[in-house]
Amino acid sequence: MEHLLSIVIFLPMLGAVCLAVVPRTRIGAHRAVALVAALAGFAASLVLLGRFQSARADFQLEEFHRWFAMGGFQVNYHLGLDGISLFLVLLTTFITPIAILGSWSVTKHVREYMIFMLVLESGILGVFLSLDLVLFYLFWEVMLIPMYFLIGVWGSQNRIYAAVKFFLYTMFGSLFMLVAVIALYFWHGQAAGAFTFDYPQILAAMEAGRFALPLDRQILLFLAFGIAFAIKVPLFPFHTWLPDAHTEAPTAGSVVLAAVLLKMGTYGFLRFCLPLFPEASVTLAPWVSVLALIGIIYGALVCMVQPDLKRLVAYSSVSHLGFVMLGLFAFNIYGVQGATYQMLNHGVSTGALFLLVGMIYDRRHTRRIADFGGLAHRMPVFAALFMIVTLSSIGLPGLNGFVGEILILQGAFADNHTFGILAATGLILSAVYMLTMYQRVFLGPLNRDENRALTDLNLREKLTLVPIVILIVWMGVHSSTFLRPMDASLQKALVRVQQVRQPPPVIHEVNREPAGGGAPGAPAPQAAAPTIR
Amino acid sequence: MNELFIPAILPEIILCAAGVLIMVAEPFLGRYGRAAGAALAVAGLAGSAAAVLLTPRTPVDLLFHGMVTLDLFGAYCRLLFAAIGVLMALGAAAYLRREELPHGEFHALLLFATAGMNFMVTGADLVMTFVGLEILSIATYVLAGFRRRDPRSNESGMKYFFMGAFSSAILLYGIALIYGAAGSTNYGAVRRFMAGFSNLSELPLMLALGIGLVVVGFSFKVAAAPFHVWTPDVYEGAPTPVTAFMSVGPKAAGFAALVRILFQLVPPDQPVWTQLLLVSAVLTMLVGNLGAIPQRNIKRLLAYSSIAHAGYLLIGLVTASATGLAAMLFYFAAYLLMNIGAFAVVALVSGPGETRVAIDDYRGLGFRQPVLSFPLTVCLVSLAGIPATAGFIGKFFLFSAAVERELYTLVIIAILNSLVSVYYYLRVVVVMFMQEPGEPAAVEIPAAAGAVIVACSLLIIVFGLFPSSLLQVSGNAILNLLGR
Repeated sequence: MEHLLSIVIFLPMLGAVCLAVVPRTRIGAHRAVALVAALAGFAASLVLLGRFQSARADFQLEEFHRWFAMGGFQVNYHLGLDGISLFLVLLTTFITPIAILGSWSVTKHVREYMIFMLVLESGILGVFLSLDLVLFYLFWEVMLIPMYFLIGVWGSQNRIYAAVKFFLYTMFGSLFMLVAVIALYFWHGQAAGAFTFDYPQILAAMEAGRFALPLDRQILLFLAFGIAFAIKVPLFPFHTWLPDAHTEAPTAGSVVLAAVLLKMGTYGFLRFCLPLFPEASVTLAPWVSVLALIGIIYGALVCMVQPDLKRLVAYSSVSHLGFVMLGLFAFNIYGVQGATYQMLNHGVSTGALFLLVGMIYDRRHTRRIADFGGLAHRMPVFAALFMIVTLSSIGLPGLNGFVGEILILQGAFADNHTFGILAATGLILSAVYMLTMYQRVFLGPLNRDENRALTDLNLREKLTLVPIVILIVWMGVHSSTFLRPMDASLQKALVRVQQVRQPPPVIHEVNREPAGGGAPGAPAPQAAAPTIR
Repeated sequence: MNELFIPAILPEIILCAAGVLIMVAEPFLGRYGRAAGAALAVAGLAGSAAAVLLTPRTPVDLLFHGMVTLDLFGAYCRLLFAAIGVLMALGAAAYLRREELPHGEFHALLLFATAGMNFMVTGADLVMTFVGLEILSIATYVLAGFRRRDPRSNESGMKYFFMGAFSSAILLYGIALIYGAAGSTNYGAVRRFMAGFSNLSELPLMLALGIGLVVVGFSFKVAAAPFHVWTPDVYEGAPTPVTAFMSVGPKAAGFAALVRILFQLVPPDQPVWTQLLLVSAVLTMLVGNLGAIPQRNIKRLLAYSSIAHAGYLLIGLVTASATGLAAMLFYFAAYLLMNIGAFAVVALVSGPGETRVAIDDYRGLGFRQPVLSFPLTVCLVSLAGIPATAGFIGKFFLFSAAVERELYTLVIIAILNSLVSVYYYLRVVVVMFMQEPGEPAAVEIPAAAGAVIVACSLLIIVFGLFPSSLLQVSGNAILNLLGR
């Protein structure tokens, strides 16, 4: 099948079209159709995994069609998959059916809700698979609209403010990216003689030396792309939309936001900023790393005093995504592997946390931590699952979070000891606030009457969580399933920044030992290490 | 060159004949009059479009003693105007019935206005362009004051008339000065005269002043700052379908005429007015977008948005490149779809006597009447320039053209303006979908108006995803105009 990637992208969209013709009153049918469409998308992406060749660093399963043109402008429909996008695509198709299954509590305008969920999925998949910059921008923006509606229509109290803020923030960044895309098009065209928005082609021209950007232009472009990505991530000063959007969004909206949407930002840095603007990346890396560190620690500190359960999870995202950014801008294979792994971890764990918070909110209609206490007595299954996810989120060895964090820390130490130490502090803080929260919600006496009537999870709720828990353990115990296919592409993404900044080889020698010895998930970096220059 | 080549003006002949026929026939048709009037108008417009498409190619493109030019640019614009007319005639029928307005006159005036716009874009002589503008303007003055018993409409017609008369006078003064300096009003002749001067400073003051006044005259018509002040009041008071027409027809015609003057009358190597237009573009975007933020009335909101869009279109003129001008032509088509679609919804929701025109009146419309709310959302999203819509493609190429000319500051200003516009367009969406529904006032959706609304929104998405054909046509039209 040559159109496998298109099928993966547009299957959910097809489901949305089917939903549009189902009569408005058949709520059960809406849910079923949406779930089937999302599961079909997941199945299609598993085919993708089967056909993916791990050894290749370049793009696979490419699709290329002319899309539209005017004068010299040629915009193409160019899709491709590599080790970086593979698991983000899988994460998206994995999380969406779970989010849909977790949305049974939505009773208002169910058909439209499901349509927006599916369109959102298509948009996100398009972002991860586009190789043409204009196509990328198109998906990047298109996915805003369904998310905006999901927050604004189905959100809680303050939803309108949150929805508009989310939209305007993101739009602000992406408009700069649009200008950068156009500028890159002209600068590349003037230098290389071929005008194109095609990412692999522009990158190839840079690698072959046909197109070299001076540092000042690189910095401009890096900043213009970077502001769009930094807002999405969100990097520290640009994060203020996130707590609002996450808190106000309906459960499934928060799940998709946290699990996948934020990854679009980090993916953007890894895919575009690092390879296209390596000198600017190296020049600005200290700044980005410092912002990431501020995010890690600031996010954690806010979590420690956060009375609202959902907001706490939201702020923990700021902290966790700070780790991802720190790993990316360490510019070594450990950091980048860890960052990519942590993107997946965060997607799985935080997605699960939002689902769990949503389940308790559906029962009690409150998110205040103070309103709970001793829930473990009434809801043992819920408490157990919550514990597993909490431990995964704080990086208990044996679960997924550990692998990503240890790799990032290793990368950060290799890059800059101070950064590594500060980041490690963030890890400790995250254990503090998560465990405190768990204790206040689940342990102690059951001293509120409203909580005595709580029922434990039903079958559907268990079904939404079980796949996630399986994945959490799998990713923690056998990380090479995931790390190995990424490896070649990550190496390739790093080549250009590493050329700019020759990494001191001694530190790598020192660091290879703990990688093999300490972590259960460490075989992959060890396998990767010899290829580092 | 002196041929009296009838096919060149056949579209306008058909339009005028259909207009006269409607006026003559209306009294005799009795109760069939309404449908027949609209049908005749559509037939006339379709006939004019067919005549444009079937015009045989001629070896020379200047006809009627150098008065009319036959080129792809003119053909493209005339087809757009015919499309505007058809959408107007279909969309307005139910409105005219609801408001008990005379329909025969409406359709006749619509056809005459279209004929006027056609002459504005095909004229190869300043006098011809001016006559076309006057035909258009007089028809539009009457249309703006069409709800005679409504003081708002009277105010609108009166204001538009005074501003129009004023701007016509300025334009005419400019033409007189050009004639005084160059000895001709013919585009080609003036251009040959100007070609004799190697640089700007040598240009006779009279000529420079004349061209400046012509640009100012058209700036009034297209509502470019600082000559935009009339727009909100006139748009608010005029009957909604007329507002829709004014926001797309005269604006597109004004821009098209300006393009022809600045690129066929002024030699291409002397972009005399770029700096002036640049300032105007920035001002227009700012005034339109900032002015729209506090608006509570949807017609005023769209009025300010139409000012803002004049600013975006001016970017195309400022770049003075094939890309920028072709983007402008593409944007005309996109803009007419989104504005006519949006105003068609506004006309339906406004209710008898146009009482429900506040944005708050759209509360709860979202899920109650998806046939209105979703198309309106598509139109607004497209106006905001978000991808997968025709509005995005238009803006994308306008911005690209500006980057191509390295007008980075202009682009940054333009994108910040787009961001502001997102805010106020989204506010309407927020009210429709996200606020608690108000009292349910069901809006009846007549078939023809509903078809216009749905067609506009679908075409916006179609041209947003598959813009190739339209881009190619507009690109060719511009290359033809620039003589490449």
